[in-house]
Amino acid sequence: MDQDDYLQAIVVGCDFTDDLRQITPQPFQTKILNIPILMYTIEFLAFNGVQEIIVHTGTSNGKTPVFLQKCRKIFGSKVKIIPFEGVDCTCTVDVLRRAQEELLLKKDFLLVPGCLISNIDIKDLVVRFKKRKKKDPRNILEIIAKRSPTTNISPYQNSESARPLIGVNKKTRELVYFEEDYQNSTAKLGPPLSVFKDHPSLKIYSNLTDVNIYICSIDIFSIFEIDSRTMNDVINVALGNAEIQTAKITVTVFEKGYAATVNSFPSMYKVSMDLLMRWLFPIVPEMNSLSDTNFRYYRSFSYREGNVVLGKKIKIGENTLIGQYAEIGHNSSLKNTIIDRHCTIGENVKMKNCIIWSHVQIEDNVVLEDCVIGAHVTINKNCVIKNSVLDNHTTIGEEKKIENYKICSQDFSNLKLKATEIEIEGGSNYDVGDEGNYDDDDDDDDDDENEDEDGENERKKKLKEFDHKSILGENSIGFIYDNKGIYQRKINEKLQQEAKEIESYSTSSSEEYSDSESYSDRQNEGNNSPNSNDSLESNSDIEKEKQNDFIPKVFRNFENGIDDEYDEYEKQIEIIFRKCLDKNYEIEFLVSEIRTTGIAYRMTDMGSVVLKLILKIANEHSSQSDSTTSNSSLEVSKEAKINFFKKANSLIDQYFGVIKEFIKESQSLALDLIQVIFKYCMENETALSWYVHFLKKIYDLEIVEEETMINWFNSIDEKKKNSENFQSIQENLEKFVSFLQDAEEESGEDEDEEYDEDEEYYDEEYDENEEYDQEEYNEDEEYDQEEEK
Amino acid sequence: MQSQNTIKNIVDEFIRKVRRAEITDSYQCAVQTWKILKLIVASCNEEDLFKETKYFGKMLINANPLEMSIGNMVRRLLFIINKESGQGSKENKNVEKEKKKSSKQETIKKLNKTKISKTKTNKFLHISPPLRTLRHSKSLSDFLLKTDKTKSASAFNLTLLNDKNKNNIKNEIQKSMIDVEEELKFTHDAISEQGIDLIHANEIILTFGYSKMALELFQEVYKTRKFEVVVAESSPNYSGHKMAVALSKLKIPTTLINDSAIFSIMSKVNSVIVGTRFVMANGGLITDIGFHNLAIAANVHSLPFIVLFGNYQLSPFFPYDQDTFNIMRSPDEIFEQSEMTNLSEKVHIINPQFDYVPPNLITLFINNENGQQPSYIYRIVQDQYSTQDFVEKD
Repeated sequence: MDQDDYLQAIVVGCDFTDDLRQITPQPFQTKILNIPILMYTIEFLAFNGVQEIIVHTGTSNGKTPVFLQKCRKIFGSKVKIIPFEGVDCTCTVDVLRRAQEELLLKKDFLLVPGCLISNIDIKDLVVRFKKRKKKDPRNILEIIAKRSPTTNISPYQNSESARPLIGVNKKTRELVYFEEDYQNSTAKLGPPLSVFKDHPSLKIYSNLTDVNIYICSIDIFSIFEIDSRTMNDVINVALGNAEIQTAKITVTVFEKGYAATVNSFPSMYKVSMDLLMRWLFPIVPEMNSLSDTNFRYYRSFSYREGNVVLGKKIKIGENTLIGQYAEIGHNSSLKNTIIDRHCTIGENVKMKNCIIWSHVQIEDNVVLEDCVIGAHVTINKNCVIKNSVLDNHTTIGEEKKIENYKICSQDFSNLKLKATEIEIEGGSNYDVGDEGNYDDDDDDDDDDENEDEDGENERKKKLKEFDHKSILGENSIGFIYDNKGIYQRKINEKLQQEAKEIESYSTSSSEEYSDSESYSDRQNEGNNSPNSNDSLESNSDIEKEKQNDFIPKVFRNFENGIDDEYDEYEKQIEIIFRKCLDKNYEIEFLVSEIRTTGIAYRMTDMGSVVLKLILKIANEHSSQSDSTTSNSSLEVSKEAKINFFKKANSLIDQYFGVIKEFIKESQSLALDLIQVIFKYCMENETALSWYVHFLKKIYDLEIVEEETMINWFNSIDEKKKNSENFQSIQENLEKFVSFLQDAEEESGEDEDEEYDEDEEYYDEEYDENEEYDQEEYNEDEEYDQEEEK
Repeated sequence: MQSQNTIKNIVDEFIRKVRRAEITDSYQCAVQTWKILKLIVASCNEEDLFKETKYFGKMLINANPLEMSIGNMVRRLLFIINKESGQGSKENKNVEKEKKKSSKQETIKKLNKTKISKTKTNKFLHISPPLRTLRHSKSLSDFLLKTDKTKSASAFNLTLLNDKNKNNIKNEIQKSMIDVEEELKFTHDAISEQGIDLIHANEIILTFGYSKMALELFQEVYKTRKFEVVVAESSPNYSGHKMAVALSKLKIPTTLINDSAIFSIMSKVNSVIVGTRFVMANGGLITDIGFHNLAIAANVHSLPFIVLFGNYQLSPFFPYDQDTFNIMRSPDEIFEQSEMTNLSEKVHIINPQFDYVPPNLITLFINNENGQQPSYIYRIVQDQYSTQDFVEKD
């Protein structure tokens, strides 16, 4: 009886992501509503009847046990809390293996991350799991998932959310299909037909958040493979051996209840707000059940502890929480803000969307927006800080404007600074593994890493380049860690929304396909397969259309003309690029610089931005020389045109390596390039005549393939075609395209037919409005010849 | 005898359960609190009795101050201890009690003409004998139990010394506690006994949500009379569904309606009989959300609005608005998180658990003993609790 009821849980202390690590080098320091996050995790486990909790601390400096003693006090004698130092563990599976080696795990156990906040009741699930396991020992794992908001981007994730696509047998709740990171995968094919055949009643979920709660049997170690790192790997392995059926995995999806993990600054803020809005009921601040707090609830989700001193005319808005001994001066206002204990805040301070930890001193007239402020921070008068993170023990000087920075108390330029690995003083290595934040759209992670190692010195250089004192103030303490700020995701969200508008019809259909139970309850195989075929086909049709409609991000933003972030991003790159031009840095350095900026703004089209810059700089160069020679001429002189092309040509030659670095093999990005040139040439008379030359140039440099160019050419819409500028270059363009087609016919036999058809079709069309300037073309050739000389 | 440590553990465990909302039923809360209080009384000396009870009582109350049945039980014990030890003014108080008792019965007779079959109800009515009778029996045990006295400076102990029979006091307290326990145990029976006077044949009764008291009352009455029950579902906890199922199992004709339909169905209803969470000292109710609508609807239609409550639900506080005794529950109950989109993120979702129903909307209270007017509730409060125990709160 006792044996059967005994339930263990293992808490994997560090999530192996490094976003929060910067401000909390020691694990378990992160606080949500002034309470350490581990408290919520342990409360969740204790609530679900776990008797023994093994906490993986990842450190051996003996600090965590002291912390765990506090936990023991709060959770009483019924729950045993055991610290477990798995010092060198670099991933979840490592921790499990080590725990197994040390014979800590006895029977079935729960596996949760140390950053879990939830109030889901899984008591019944555990009982059922045990029963099932008795019947069939192959039941070794139960995944607990939560229906997530239907937004495109999970508000709890920093990067684009990695949502799995999961197929579950409706009757047995068995997992039959699993695709990690469904949204970011390129194929978008979904489960193979055999899955539908084998399981007539199937439920497919695409909108689940993986809350990383697993009920594991002790036999789970049998399916671990050497290269398994995350639980997703383990699941994939188990599903891979489906024919042998060594392991059965069940899935339970919760619609109600709250579950979230905190592993980044945005999720930290979002979860805090959720908790203030009482999603975690009955664990609400005024219950004061998890710590020695004494909060009281006031209206509109604001909470206060005792001994808070408030000045006159303070505006305390919604979703606020103020800890003990806080002092807030007159006329200050706060909204969506959490203030820990012992904070002193001056007069006329405006705070919005901030998390402020204990012992922070904020002087008069400071404005804070979207900030996370660590403990013992001092911010002097008249500062404006937006979208930034300040580490513990930093100080900001007077009247500084700080935006989009992460600021550390240590000088990281002397430390290893890799995107995937951070070494912390006295701590251990935290390897991001598969859950890294930087794996967005880069198809070339491996190259990245190598480069990072090579570019190590440059990174340090870059950090040193920040003039810390001038940004942070004379009497400041602290160093800039990076210039990404908290909310990179905002930009992405915007882009995603725009993309959503464009493909609205396609997503609506695909959502139906993935979300609903349309595949369930089909008894007949015959019915099954044709239907799914249909939908897959229609999907791929849509794909194609989307390809044609594709507008590069550069223009989408310019046409909308309001995207400040994008402007900012371009400006950043421009600054870097110009610096490089002036000082003649090495190309590798430039590449790494631009890449960091790109990552920072979550953009992928660095290549086209660079190309645009080249054109811009070349233009400036030509106009400068122009102004010296002929002041009065309104028309662009020939000389200027030649100058422009010369300059541009040499710049492209010089920096084509950079562009190529960003384009890699991706032809969609290459398409951006063509668009950039096209747009630029259409808008600038100087460049217009050189359009085809540029195209040829990037073709010769093997950045863009023939096929992409032809496709693009075919997809130019009528409006543009009818514009004057376009008609002036049309002839050349057509010539060039036909040249390309010839070239392609030589290279590829298979695709010929398709394009021949297209070609014919368009040729007919073009014949009608055939009109071009022969002279200009001749001029062009002349310039070309001059160039060659 | 339990050691102090084990009691602390038991108290902690109970507090954790309350905080995790594992015990939500206020009756269960009251019963378990009383059990714990019994353990506390049993474990400590008379000198520490009051202090210890207060200490643990505070802890228990803080587990969830809005689960008022816990606090009610704690204050009840404090009242008993006070009464038993405060023998100095024994006679005066007895006289006072007598007066209260008689005046109470008079008013009852005047105000409600509920004829309670005395043979039946007497066993319940006298389950909790007034403290006066207990004190009379004390003289006997005075002789039997005499123990050593120790001097202490506390005011409480001074009164004890005056009384010269310390150990007896503890015994008496324990006896009174058993009486209260009995009262708790038979609360539901005592109330359903009175149901026969509230429901007439072929009436249609409206009730709201799940209430064990109302259910047992209907069951009792249905043995003699036929009537119909309409159940409002009580969103967002939908306990009305449970009630409707339970009623139909008893073969009582049942109709389930949603809360919004209350007003429109009110004209077909003969009376409203509901359970409650807590009855406040001013005769108002602090109870599940939705009751205020119901009470106003009944008031508009001039229907009797009858509230059943056990003495453990009677709280000595005076509410005055909707917010003071209230707690916001998770928005999850009314708005699924998975429905959240970018647009709806900015919507404030407010899900209060309790409703305050002012006393002027209530026709009659039925408690363990008999029917009471809302305006009379404060007297019962005075009989159950001593003012100092809830006025000097914190």
